[in-house]
Amino acid sequence: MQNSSDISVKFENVHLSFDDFVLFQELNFTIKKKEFVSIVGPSGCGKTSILNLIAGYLAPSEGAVTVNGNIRTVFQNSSLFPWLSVRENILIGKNKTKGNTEVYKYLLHKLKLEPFENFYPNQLSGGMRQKVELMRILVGETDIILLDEPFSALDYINRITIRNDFVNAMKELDKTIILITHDIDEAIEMSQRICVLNKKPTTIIDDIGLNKSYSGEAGQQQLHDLKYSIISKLTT
Amino acid sequence: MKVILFFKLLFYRSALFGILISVWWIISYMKVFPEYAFPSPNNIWLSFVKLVNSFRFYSDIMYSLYRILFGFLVTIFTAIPLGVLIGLYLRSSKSLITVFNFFRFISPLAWIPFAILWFQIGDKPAIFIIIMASFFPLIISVIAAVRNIPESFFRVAKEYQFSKRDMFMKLILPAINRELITSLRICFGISWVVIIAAEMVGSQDGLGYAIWDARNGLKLDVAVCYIITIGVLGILLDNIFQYCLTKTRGNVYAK
Amino acid sequence: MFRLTVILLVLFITVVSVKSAGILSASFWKKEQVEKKRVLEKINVGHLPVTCHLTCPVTDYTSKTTTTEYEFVSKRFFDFPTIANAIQSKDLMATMMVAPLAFKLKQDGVPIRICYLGHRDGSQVIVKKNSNYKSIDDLVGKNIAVPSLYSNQHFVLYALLKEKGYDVSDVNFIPLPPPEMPMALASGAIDAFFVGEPFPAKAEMEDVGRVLYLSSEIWPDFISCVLVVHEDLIKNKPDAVKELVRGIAESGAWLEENREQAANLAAEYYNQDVNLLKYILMAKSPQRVSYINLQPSYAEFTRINQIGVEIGLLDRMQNINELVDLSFIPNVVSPAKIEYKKQ
Repeated sequence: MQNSSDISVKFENVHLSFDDFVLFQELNFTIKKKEFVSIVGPSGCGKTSILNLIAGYLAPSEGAVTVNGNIRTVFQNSSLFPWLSVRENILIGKNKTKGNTEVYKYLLHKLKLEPFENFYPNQLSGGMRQKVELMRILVGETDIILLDEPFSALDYINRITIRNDFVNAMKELDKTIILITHDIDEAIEMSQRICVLNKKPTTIIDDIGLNKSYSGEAGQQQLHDLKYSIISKLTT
Repeated sequence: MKVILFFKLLFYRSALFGILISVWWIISYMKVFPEYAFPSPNNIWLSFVKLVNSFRFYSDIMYSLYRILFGFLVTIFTAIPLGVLIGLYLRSSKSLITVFNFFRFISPLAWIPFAILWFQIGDKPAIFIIIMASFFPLIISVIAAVRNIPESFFRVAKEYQFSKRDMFMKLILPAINRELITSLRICFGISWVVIIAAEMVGSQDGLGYAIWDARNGLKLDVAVCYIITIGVLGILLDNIFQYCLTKTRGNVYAK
Repeated sequence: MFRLTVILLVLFITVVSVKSAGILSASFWKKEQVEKKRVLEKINVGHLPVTCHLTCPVTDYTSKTTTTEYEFVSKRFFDFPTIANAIQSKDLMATMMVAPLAFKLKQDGVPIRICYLGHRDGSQVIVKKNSNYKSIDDLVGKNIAVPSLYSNQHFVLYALLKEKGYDVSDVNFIPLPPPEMPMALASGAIDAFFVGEPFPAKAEMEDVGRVLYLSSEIWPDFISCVLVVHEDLIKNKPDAVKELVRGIAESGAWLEENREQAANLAAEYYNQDVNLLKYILMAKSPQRVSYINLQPSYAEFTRINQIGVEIGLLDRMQNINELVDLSFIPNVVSPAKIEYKKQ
């Protein structure tokens, strides 16, 4: 066995099929620790299935999926408990004293949730709820964070503001982050590496490493070109 | 500001009340119906005063309250846990639900002859009828509410390693809280209506019995006094449920 | 939800404590006669709050001051089916009951015996005040209300009409709860009703109806209700049955002589209007109800049985010996010693 201490997720020759329908054949990729990877592709190409395989909700028909570490997911729909306040939701399943730690206060500040600590989810906008969900994860001891199209339900402006807040919060915390999205701008802005998937059959048609630690550091022109090259690959 | 609102409400309610009484007074004054069939407000008031000064009145209230609370509490402590279990674990509970539904549609009053045969006369048949009236609607409601809890909540519970006890106390009960209280409120209404009828046949005291007794003694004015009491008590008790509903936290499902 | 459960529990506990503390009974506050009361064995006797059953609460009253070991507690019911259930389940060991129903229960296998009567007469045929009915013949083709198809009122009218040669399908017998009969008459839903007091008197006092016939005019010494006793009580406590029958007989004798006091007592026990009861009990000529001569005869019962079979409500002719037990009837009946003080 390879030394897997610096690998978070590894797909080896993974086949996945449902009855007659074959989704992937011989899917291979590796995600290293503390990487921020985006998985981009058209809908129906299996992004959610990849997520399910990583999270352990699905098992591959053939091949192996190796995961090192705890996984938490932020989904498109909020899973906050409506009868608990923001603070209580964040501290769910954890020792209540965590609410007094530096980490908690730091994140609360970075995600701009401070004024809303005692609000209830139904009083918050969609974007804020996503932030609370993220913070719930970040306050715990999670190694791997999966984001499944977390901003799809938000409007344009919100998407951008909240995206920035997310990135600011996650920057200091050294976790492996896997972002699943169909928004290419988002992928380019936020992540360090983009896996582009195509469908029928689902394969990785490109694996682009962006030479930056986090968003915003690439030049505008580069980003523009990159984006259109990805789009053209997806649409051929 | 709030004070003005309060008085405004008070005024409207009194006005409505006053109109009703006036209409009633007019009808009885004009002798549209004979006195013994349609008592006048005057007679009712006199009977009421006499009633309020009797022990019997309060003891009747206590008996009815005792029976309905007993039956209701039994229902709460059986239907809720059972309903949660069925809602969570029984995939094929459709047939069970059909059975519950079947019983739900049998008027609780139809059980009266059996109640008397099995439990004789007194508290027990009335309590039995209350349980028959409230158990089935409640358990069906609990099962539906539990089934409606979004999967994502259970996922979160699993991720954060909720124990079985936590699942029940911290996830399920809070999640179904509003629906539960609303459903309880309805069941209580049914029980209140039913106990009056149950007492008419199966007991020797209580509000229902008192009405029936008054009617058999051809004292309809006393019967009306009790009817008014029943209505007022019903509202007061209903307010308990409404109050608890306002104290629920957050809206159940965020949009 | 927790809040709600807690509130309900607190309420419940409050009610239970108030109830058991007995704060709500008059005796608690009056701190009544704490004279050493012998513990009497209680026997429940059922009845309906009708004048016919008046011997029952009177017996209750007397037995409270009795020298025997039994206290007869009169339990009030409102309809005969419930009484029937209660005696079947032995909740009641003795009760007043309409005679035909006693036959029916016996034939259905309930082990009971008729030991005495409750009263004689005491029912009237009432028609609308301003109607011009003069006799039974006028009732043919009309709606007549009776308290139950198993009542002697039904049986007797049926027999009478049949004797006169009418086809009984010409008369419509409608079972109605007695309290509703006066109103039903007033509204025209029925044309006449035949039931025990106090409902006929009520209709008269409300100016709604008038007497067409007294029961004594249709069938002299009319029987309506009988005293039914469960066989187990007869077997296990025959002296109690003897006491009961004697109590009823003596109460009857007292009632016969002390009509006004009786009205006051009944008003208190039945929660009914005392003036109404006085009107009924103190009627002199003709008398409306009689409480003496309560020993039934075999001939009377056989006749009732016959009619029941003819109508089809009873299956068969009953061996009267198996239904009746007249051994408890005292030879000499003297009025009970009652000093009724209005509470």
